[in-house]
Amino acid sequence: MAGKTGALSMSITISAPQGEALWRLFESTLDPSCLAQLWRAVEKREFDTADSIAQEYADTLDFLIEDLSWGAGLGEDFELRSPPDLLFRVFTRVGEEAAEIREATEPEREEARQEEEWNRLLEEASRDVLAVLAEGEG
Amino acid sequence: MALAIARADRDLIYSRLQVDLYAIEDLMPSVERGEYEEARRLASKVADALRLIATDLRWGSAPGGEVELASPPALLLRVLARLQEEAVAQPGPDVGALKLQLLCIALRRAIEEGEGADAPAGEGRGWTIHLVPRGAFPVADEAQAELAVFSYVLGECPEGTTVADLLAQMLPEGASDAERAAAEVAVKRLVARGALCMEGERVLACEPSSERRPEDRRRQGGADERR
Repeated sequence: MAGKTGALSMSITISAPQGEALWRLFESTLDPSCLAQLWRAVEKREFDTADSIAQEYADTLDFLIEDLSWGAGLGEDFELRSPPDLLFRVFTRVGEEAAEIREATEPEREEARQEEEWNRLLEEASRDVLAVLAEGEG
Repeated sequence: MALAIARADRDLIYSRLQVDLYAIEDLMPSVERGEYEEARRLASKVADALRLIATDLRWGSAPGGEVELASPPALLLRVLARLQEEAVAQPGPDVGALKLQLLCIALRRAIEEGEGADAPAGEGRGWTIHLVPRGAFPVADEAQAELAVFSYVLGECPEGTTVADLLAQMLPEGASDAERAAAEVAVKRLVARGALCMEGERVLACEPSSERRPEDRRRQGGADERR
């Protein structure tokens, strides 16, 4: 993955809601079981996989230390302080992960949309029928 | 050119860093208690260990040969300083901890002095250092005296030297009675701690059989094994 190095010549601000979404995403990585994947790769002697898990995990921890402050400062906008190369790697992964989640949850969202449409149709039908009945009684 | 270390030294550092990785188990509880400084310390420890292993030390055991340390000096110095601190705090006889202390001191010195540019530290006992000050033996500091003797036995004196010869070779010319006495006490303490062994009159560095393995430490810390 290409990296960006050097000092950050501009400030990047993360909004409070974006910060909460990031904390929500990374909080789960503090679970020790996340390293189980790493040990499995080592045991299977898949060292390239182990390297990549290790580097990603180290990036996440550094980002949590430097920018997310363990979720303590959430609720306010904040400026990113991590070095550009770290931000580049972290946010590339965040974007990819968000896209994966969106894709994986698309069937559920489609089902919810369908459910919503059926509800609308049922409400519409009941309104129409009741309106006609009311007219007949009058 | 980066600094290089012998495979045995790599294994010593790797085994300690494996233990460091289990600090992750204490991270979330620290965050939940609002102990953010502790969380920062633990997270740095884990992140540094992961980076050093992934970049230089590699995973598991590997065939012999030297291992190049190409990680940024700042990362190496942070890890070595912490390992040295932990080795000093290690209770009881632990030859591995003594060796680790010496290794960390030697590597930190090499990195800080920029010796890594043309002096690989892994050649033979390349990390051997001269802890015996050229002017005086550390009389007042028992720990320094032990390290000085141990590093000398490990690195410089011919294997199986007698204690008398060891003292004669190691102590600076014109050493005082106090220096001689301190060195003798250091030898006795190292023998008592199991770091040095005596074969009759001859003194040898013991093998690090008392070194705790990562598994033992995890059990000691009550941490789950998650491998």
